[in-house]
Amino acid sequence: MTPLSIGEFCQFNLKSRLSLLHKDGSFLGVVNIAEYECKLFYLYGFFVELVYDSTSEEVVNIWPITSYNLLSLYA
Amino acid sequence: MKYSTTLEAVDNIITTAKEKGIIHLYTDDDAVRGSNFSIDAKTICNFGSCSYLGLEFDYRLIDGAKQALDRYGTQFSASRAYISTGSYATLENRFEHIFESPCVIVPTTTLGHISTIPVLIEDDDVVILDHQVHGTVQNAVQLLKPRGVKVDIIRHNRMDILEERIQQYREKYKRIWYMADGIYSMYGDKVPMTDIQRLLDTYPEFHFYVDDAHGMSCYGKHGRGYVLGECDIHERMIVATSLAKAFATGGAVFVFPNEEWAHKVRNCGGPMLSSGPMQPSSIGAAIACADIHLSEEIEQLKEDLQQKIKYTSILLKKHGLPVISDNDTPIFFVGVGLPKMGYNIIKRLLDDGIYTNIGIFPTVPMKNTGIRFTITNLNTFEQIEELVEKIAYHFPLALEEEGFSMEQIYKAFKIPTADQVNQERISTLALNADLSIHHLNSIDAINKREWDMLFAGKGSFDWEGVKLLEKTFSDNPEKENNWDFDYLMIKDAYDKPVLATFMTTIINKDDMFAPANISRQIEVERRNDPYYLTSKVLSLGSMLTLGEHLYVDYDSKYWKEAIDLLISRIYKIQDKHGASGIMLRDFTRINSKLDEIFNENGFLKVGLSQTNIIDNLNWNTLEEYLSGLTPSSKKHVKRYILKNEPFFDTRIVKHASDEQVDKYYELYMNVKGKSTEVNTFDMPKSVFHNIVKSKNWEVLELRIKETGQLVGMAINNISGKAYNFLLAGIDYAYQQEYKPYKQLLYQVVKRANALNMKVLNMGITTDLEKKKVGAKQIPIFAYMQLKDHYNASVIQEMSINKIEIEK
Repeated sequence: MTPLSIGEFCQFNLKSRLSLLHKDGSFLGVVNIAEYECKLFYLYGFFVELVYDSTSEEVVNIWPITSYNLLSLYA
Repeated sequence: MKYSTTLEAVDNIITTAKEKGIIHLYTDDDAVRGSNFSIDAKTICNFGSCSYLGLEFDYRLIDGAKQALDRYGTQFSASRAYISTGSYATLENRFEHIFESPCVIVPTTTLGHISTIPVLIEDDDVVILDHQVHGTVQNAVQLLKPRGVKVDIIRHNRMDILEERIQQYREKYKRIWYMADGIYSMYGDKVPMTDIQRLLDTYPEFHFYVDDAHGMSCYGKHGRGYVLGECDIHERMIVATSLAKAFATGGAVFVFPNEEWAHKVRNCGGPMLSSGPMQPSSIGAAIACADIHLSEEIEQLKEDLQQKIKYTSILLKKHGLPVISDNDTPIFFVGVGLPKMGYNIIKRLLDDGIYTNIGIFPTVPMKNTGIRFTITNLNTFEQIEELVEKIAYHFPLALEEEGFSMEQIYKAFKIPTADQVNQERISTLALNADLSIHHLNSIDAINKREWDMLFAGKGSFDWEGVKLLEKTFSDNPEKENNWDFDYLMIKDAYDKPVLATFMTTIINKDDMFAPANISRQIEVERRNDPYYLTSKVLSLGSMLTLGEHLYVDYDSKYWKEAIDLLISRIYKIQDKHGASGIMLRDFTRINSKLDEIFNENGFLKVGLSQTNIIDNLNWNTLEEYLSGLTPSSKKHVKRYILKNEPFFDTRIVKHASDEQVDKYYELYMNVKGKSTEVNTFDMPKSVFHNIVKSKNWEVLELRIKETGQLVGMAINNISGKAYNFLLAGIDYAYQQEYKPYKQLLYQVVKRANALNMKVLNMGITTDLEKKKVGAKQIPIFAYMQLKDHYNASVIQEMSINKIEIEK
């Protein structure tokens, strides 16, 4: 596996981030906030959050988490 | 370079690649789907497809093809000049929506270029080709030459040179066509459209003809291509594009800025009149594909491809691989340098389940071989990662096996070196073979006896002969008369020479062996620029020496390692002197193992000329001499030479005065001026001054007995038992009556016989005349390597019809 940096990962669109997450990410946990299901992954040495809208049934965002406050939601 | 030589080189390369099992392959699947296929029962991931959007397996295209087959059968065999299926009109309509410009559909881009170029380019136009424009465009341009259309060629993507040419040609020619690719098929780089647009806006004579085959579907509104994605079609632009790559159906489309040009090509293009159309199944698939292009779906497909291209680029950079062109196209080229590296790594990848293409001569220069691969939407991120990681894994292993270094690759491609480079492997090779290398810059540093043991009697390059050359070709005002000398001796542990040679690096005329009419044109240009189409070339031997300049002890078990060391050292010398070409000469016999080594190291075998030798000098009487000639030669000698011999005085001059030297030089320049076979710089007069002072050289003078007039001279060298005829001079005022050249040759033969020589080397040119006095012709060849083929390409393209030669 060839890891990417956060900057490199962020160059990709949503669809590609999902592919990379599926390929190389390790699932850590999930929290539900309103209609959103948020999943935490560990990928290439950093944390990534996937946000899924259960109403529209689609992934709406995938982004790296660098804030401790956001990470602590998954504790 | 002769075309037959290029063909032979291509044949050798293809044959070798085929023997290595990397080209001319067949899949062994019953059906192919997706990005994998099977070769020899092994699953291989395909990174060699140009179907960039992966549409060839799309059910809509397949259904479109099937329906068309059901409706029209397998073919509609009629010229489009007469009648086409209605589906053609449907497809044309689709493309006019995609491009928003008049279009002509053709079966292939090749036929499209042949339809368009000869029809729209007029006799008063000039065509400027980019050096790397696709072969199909270059082939179509050949059709213009019999009409005398001027064709020029410029270095790849050099917009500064293009603008200079436009300014130069705009007063002389009605229209100036620049022909290029939108995306180049080997390195994947692009034509600089910003510059092209500026030139179109600035110069009303400038026209742009572009083959955007690899851009179609991947860029632009409705996937209309890279070029038309950067700008709307200009009124002086023609865009050719392929439907056989990302469009996935076969066929081609030519886009014109106006109806007039489209109609003219449709009406008059040769293949439009006489060749078959696209077949119904292709048209059916193309209509379905055009519908995809006219929908929003094409944007997603393009975006998906760009994401994969981006991922590939990032991974290649991370692994520090020498990628030649950093761009956002689906074509990638990882440089490996020499053909042997290319064969090695492509085979390794294939054995490891990855299919890629070898980018090799003649599509790229010999030393710029590489792994060419493509990314399509059928390739997943996993597969792309696997590809790059396997290249990164096998790359250093292949380097190790072939004794090559990353530094050499970066140098060959002129790209910045990576942070970590491997050291040159010369010392390792030498240690392994217990060989020592002695590289010197003057013959003075070499033991005379040791040198002459290897080279005396083989030509004029014994110790004294080379010493004379060193003295003559240094400190001259003209740079072409200052040579760099390098001497190489490779010895075994017993200090016995395994290999020895000397090299000179000089400025050569690139048209040296070109046809005389081409050289005449080039000499016109050289009145303004004396160094036009010249290059620095590193040669074994020198311009003034003939013979096998390379000594190899083939009985030594280290001779192959010695050759490897020679090649390695030659590259260093080439870099040191800034030479653009290497010429290993003169070979008269083929050693198949040596041939293979040179071939694998990217050297092209080229036929140079024929050398003339007489090795039967044992006759004691005239009758014995004549009996050794063919009947026609005997007749010739009696009629033109012996009959006139009484009119001549022959003298051998060992020490000539300055006045005599001036006269010799004048006669030499007469011959030089008439020489049509080999085009070289004039020898400096200092050659003559130094020669006449050297004990191993002599001048044979031919004078008219009655008047004492000097009418011919030959400068000859004695080396061991070899007599070497090197330079001649003639007063052509006496040619008609006395035929002094024929007489001179005969007198040289007599002189060699008188000196009891074993062999007379008469050199190249005037083979027929030399044959008449008993010489036999031995073909000589060399192994050549050019850093770039630009000058050679220019010479090949030169048109002889429209050039006005000033008298």
